[in-house]
Amino acid sequence: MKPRLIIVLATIVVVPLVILGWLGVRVVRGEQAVLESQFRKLVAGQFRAVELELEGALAAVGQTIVEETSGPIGGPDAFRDLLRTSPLCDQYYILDRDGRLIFPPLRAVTEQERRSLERTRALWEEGAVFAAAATAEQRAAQTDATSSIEQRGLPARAGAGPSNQGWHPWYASRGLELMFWRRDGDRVFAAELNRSRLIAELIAVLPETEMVEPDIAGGRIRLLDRSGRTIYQWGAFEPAEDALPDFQSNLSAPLGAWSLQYFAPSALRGGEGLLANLMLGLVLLGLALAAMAVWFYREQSRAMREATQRVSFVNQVSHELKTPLTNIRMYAELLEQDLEESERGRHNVEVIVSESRRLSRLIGNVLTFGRGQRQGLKLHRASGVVDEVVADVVQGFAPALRRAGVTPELRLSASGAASIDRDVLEQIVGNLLNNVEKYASTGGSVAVSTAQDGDRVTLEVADAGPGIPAKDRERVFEPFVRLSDGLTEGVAGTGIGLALARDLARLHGGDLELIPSDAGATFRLTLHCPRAGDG
Amino acid sequence: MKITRAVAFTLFAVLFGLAAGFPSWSATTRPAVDLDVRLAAPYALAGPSQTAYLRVGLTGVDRGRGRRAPVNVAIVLDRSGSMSGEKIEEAKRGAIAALDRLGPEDIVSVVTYNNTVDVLVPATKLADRQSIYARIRSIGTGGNTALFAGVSKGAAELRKFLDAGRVNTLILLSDGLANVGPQSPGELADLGSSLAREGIAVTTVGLGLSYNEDLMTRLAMSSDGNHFFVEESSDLEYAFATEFGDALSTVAQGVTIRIECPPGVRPVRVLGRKAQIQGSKVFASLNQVFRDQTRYLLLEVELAPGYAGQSRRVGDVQVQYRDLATGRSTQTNAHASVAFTRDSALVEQRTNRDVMIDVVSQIGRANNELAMALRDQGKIEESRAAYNSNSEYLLKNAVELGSVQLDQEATANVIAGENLEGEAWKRERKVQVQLQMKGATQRAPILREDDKKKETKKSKKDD
Repeated sequence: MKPRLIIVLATIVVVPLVILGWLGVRVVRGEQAVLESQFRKLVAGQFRAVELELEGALAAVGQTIVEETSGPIGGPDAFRDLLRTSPLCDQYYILDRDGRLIFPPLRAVTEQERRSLERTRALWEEGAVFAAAATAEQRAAQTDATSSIEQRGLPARAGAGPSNQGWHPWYASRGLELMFWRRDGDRVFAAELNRSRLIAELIAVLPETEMVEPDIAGGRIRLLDRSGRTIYQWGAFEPAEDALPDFQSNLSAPLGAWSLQYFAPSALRGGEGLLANLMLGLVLLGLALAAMAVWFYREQSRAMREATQRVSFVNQVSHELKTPLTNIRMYAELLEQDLEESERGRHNVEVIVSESRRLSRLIGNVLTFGRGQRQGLKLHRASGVVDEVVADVVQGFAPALRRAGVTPELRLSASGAASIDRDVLEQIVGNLLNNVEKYASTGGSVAVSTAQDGDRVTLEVADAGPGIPAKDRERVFEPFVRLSDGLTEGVAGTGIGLALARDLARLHGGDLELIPSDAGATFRLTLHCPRAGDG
Repeated sequence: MKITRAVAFTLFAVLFGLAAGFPSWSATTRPAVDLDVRLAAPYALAGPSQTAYLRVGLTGVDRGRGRRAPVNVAIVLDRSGSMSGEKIEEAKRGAIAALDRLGPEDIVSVVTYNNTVDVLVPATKLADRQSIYARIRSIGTGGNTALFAGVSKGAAELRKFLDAGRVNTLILLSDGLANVGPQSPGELADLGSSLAREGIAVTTVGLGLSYNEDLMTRLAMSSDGNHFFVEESSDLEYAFATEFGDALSTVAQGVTIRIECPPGVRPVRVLGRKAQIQGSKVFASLNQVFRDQTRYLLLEVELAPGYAGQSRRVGDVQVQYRDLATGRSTQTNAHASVAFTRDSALVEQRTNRDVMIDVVSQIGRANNELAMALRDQGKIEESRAAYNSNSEYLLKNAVELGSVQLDQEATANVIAGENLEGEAWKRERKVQVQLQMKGATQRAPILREDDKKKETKKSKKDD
């Protein structure tokens, strides 16, 4: 029974958790995907902005070279004079219509020009630059990615066609190098850029990194060359040495060999926070469900215990009813035989009366309890004297007490007439004396005292029995609670006597308490009994 | 009404301009640069073809201390992790002390770099000193060395105010190896020569013993800037002060030298300086000439056979520069001639001692570079032999020419030969590179910190 209950409860806790967890993870995943795509867009936007800056810088470099060399080109020496003052270019080249170099003049090159030609020999042998220039007009129709400055927004010289100038990337030992070319009539002019200067120009337009107030929201962007070495980087975030970039993208031509990398601080990416929130939510929900299960389990056990108690109660009552009834039957039979012998006869009748009273009381108790459970109890007050009622009850109990070896001592001083419910008072005192008979007969005596103080009547029943432990002082008043299991100890009882007595006392405007005493148990009953005639 | 006021204003402006301009006219009647062209041997023996040396000397002229050209300076500071502690504090102090010498018309920018670059103070007139100083004092350290990017950003700041009337200088301080971005000496040298063509000189200050002296010197040399090897950070202030002193005493910028050799004279090479030889023409450039300081160029030429009594022009020298006092481009010309004779005593007697000293010094410097190359290849013994023979060569000429300078250079070579191993070489190489650099910039010697060190070393050795 119980393991099954536990399994059911565990299922009730676990199943919703699993379902919610699964749904939650799905939601978080979806959210993360959304964040990721927004983040990608953001970074792509940043990369685009960087590319625009670089393109702008390249366009400016191209424009500067165009302006630098736009004048009428004289002889080779004039051209060399021009180059000597150019911060941007390492070497100029001019080709004729057939792609032959006419500058530097091969017949008379300077040392520096010889080195430049050596460096760029592959280009002339392949004829790459000039093939590019020669076919530029055809290519203008297609939008080839090969670096027409026109596409990058550089205003062309007045009257020049769209593909009259452009960039030609090539590779030397240091990596990407750029050659700028432009058509000039039927000649092609080309300028080999100072690579370091080109990089410096590009760096100059890229963002810096604020040292004093770092941009917390930002990540780290790196510009890398073909072999993956950093050319320039910015952004306050410092990725770990071996960190992999979150995003990477190649630049477009002519810087296609270079790439951009983005390193994001983990806080910026989000998602992790969502998952943590979800986890926290699930844990809280789990706790709540578990608490509910525990509460449910405890309620269930209590209900079970109460049901068991009730069954036991009915058994007890049946058992209790049997004994006095048997006695009554036996003594009644004896009475039939012995009626002539008057002395014995009287005793037997006494027993019959006493047992009948006990039975009436028991039944009264059960009926009262049942009534109390169903619709509540009602008080029927009438004028009477407390002491008389108490004396009557004790009188009625005398034979039973005597048989149990208990001597009652009465100290009665509530002789004033008062408004009382006689039945209620009888029932309370009867239950108290019944307990004494059952549980405290070893003490050999019981003291019953009454006192009257205005409207308040006090009654104390003090036995000399084993007493009641302090921790159980309140528990004895709970219905169906019996401190010692009567069946095992040979003492019968229903377990409702004291509870009923307290309920009745409270109904009568008073209370029933167990008060501390040196030996045995002392119950004190207080009742609200207005003087008869006062009201 | 409006028109009369405008006319009056114009008149006033013109008069005021005249009044302001007049003294400078009289002050600039002398050229800013004194050009001196002479041969090592004005008399040559008649007979077969022979080698001759032509020296072109440029001396900045002091035309009264009243005026100096405003400067446009970018200070580029390394704030990598290795700069932490005393080094960065001294660097800040040095920079601030140097800026203290500037006036409100001067333009300053401050750039710091480690992994990334921060333009701490964008180019601005030095009007609000305290806020600039406060920003410099706030510099903290950490990270790597993106040296190339630092120089690029510094140059971009200078470029904002690049005009003819200003001295444009970038001062780079680093104590370590460039390890982010382009980092080879060649790449930095290319950047330097590009900047030189815009009139920007890069002065490099190498701090401690861990920086790459080749990178720092080649960057400085290619842009015609200065180089300092500062071993102790406490000497930084001195280096800054010296460099600012130079910048403040610049009288001419953008100097181009053009030498045309007439028939019968063939230019062979220019000693220790980057120059272009196009047929009979030689081109070289200097970024700046300082007041009271001589810079020179040595051209080796081959003289065709001559006969006794013949006189021949060896080189027509044309120097063009921007006079910083006027902002105008100025040109001066001079030439040198050789006379052929059969009298070898006369040749000997009339030999130009100063020019010969420079020639020997440049040859010694080339030898010194070869010796260092040997050491760089790990050939310690060969390197020592090369240093020693160079020292002997310099010493012999020092005695013959009676030159203290050559004697000092001989001693420097001896010291180099003695410090070829272990940690000592690490330091010595930096000293040698700086000496080579100083020789290559071909400035007339002035006593600097390293000279003092050399002096003390020498005296120690004498002990």
